[in-house]
Amino acid sequence: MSVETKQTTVDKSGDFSRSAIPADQRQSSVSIFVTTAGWVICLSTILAGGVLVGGMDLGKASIAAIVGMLILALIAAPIAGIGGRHGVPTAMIAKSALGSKGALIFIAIVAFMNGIGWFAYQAAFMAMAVKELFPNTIFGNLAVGSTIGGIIMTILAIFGFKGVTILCFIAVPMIVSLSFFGGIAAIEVSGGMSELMKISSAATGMTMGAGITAVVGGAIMGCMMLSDVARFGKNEKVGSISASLGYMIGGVFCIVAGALMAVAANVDSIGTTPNLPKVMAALGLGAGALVVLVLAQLTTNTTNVYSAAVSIGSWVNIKQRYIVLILGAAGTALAVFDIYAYFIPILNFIGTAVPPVAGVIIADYWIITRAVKKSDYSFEEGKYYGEFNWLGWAVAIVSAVIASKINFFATSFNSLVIGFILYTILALICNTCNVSYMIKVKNTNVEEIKEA
Amino acid sequence: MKVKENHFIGISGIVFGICNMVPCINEQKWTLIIYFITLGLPEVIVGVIGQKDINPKSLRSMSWLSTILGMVILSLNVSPYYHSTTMSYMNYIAAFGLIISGLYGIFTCSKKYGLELIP
Repeated sequence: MSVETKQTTVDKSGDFSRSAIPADQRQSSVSIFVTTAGWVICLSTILAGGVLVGGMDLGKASIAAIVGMLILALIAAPIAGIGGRHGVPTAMIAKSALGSKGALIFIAIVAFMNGIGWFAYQAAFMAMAVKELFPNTIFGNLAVGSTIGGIIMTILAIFGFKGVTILCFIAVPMIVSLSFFGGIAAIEVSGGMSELMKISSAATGMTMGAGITAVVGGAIMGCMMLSDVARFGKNEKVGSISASLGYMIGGVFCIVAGALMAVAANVDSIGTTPNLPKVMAALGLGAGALVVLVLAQLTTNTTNVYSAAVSIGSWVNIKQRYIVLILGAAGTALAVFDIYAYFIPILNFIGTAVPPVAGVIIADYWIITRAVKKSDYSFEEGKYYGEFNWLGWAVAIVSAVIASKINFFATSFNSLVIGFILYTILALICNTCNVSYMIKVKNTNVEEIKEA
Repeated sequence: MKVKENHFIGISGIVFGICNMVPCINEQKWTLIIYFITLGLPEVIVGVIGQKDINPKSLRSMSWLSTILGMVILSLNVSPYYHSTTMSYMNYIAAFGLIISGLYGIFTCSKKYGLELIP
């Protein structure tokens, strides 16, 4: 059931980054499924398959992929469900859970990570892939490749969700097909599935837990922002199921296809990163491989910068296309000047610190608001959300610290679960003892104030 | 509301789908046979089903299927591994035929019937 909003919806920022999507602009479950599948189908996900078979056999790698993506789908469903129900992006949901100032911190971190950090990393990685395929041409120059890639992605993202959806609608089936046929080629080249399993059995050193960790940790940030896509779903169920299923199926497929190809091609990695362009070239996939790589990077990175712009657009009164332009330019500059390499340790740290915020949001909405208070979030224009949820942020920080000390499973997943459980318990205690955990500005002249 | 263009798109799908499967005659490699059939047969089936009266939204879906399958056939056909050694020209004909007919269908749905580009 979709919730009817009572405000007069005026899309001031473009693409409804500060208001609910009107009912007549919601899209089908197929669109949502394809877009979220396109979000996760990217070079890094295919590479994850190659990383897994670097340390375990093909059978275990497949199990790790399925279990890891299933966990992510279970995390994605409640978050995407909120977006589908209310038609609002992650940034506005964060305001309800964390307060205006509290959500600003979260959005700033995510915008930095997705819009600039990951954008720079993936634009540069695409340039490296192109360099492997065309080493002695102008495209073999990393700066040129990063610039062209960054500009194309930025332009695509400026056209908003429609442009991203059309791109994903074309790219996702192509990537799925080429990954499928790449896997088929891998089996034939190796002499059959049993031979492939025999070749892969030589790989050891990675436990099942470490494999699942690699899968979960690599995709959890995108999972947390799925409301940005799910908000276009017709209702809660469409947003929740389509988005999480798309994410899961797209991810599993990509990882297994990458694993098959990496085992069959047996190409040296670049450091610890499987050299996927050379893998595909070794299997004879040629120009088709370039299409897979380029389209995979385009769809994911365009969605990254789009999502970041939507988040920032919920705070600043600037047209979304200008925000995309600024983020894309900054990310492209970082990619060109190779500065992205210094962001990897920062991105890894934030990958542990940010997931517990998602745990807090899930707990605040589904447990505290819906189950305990029998209420719901509302997003009327001019609504006052409160300033800062000190309990939410305290729990998020403590959860990240605790998770970083635990050597079990995936740190990013652990921090999210700890955040969820801790916030649920402490918020219930605060509610029972009438202790307010949402800081509000006194004497605020509004019709409705969110009561903690 | 019934459309007229489905007959053209459907017949294109049947013709070019069969076109894509013709190289199976001379092919020994099972992987290429899978490629020819999995990308050609759905187009034939949809083309047959699409001959009956359908609405604009179904025409749009049919057109997108043709376009995407055509692009996949084209990208595989240019690769050394999936390139038929004897009759690759049939796959090229199938690819371009499907892409052109599919784009025509999408354009018609958008301009004539006022539909969004994607379902």
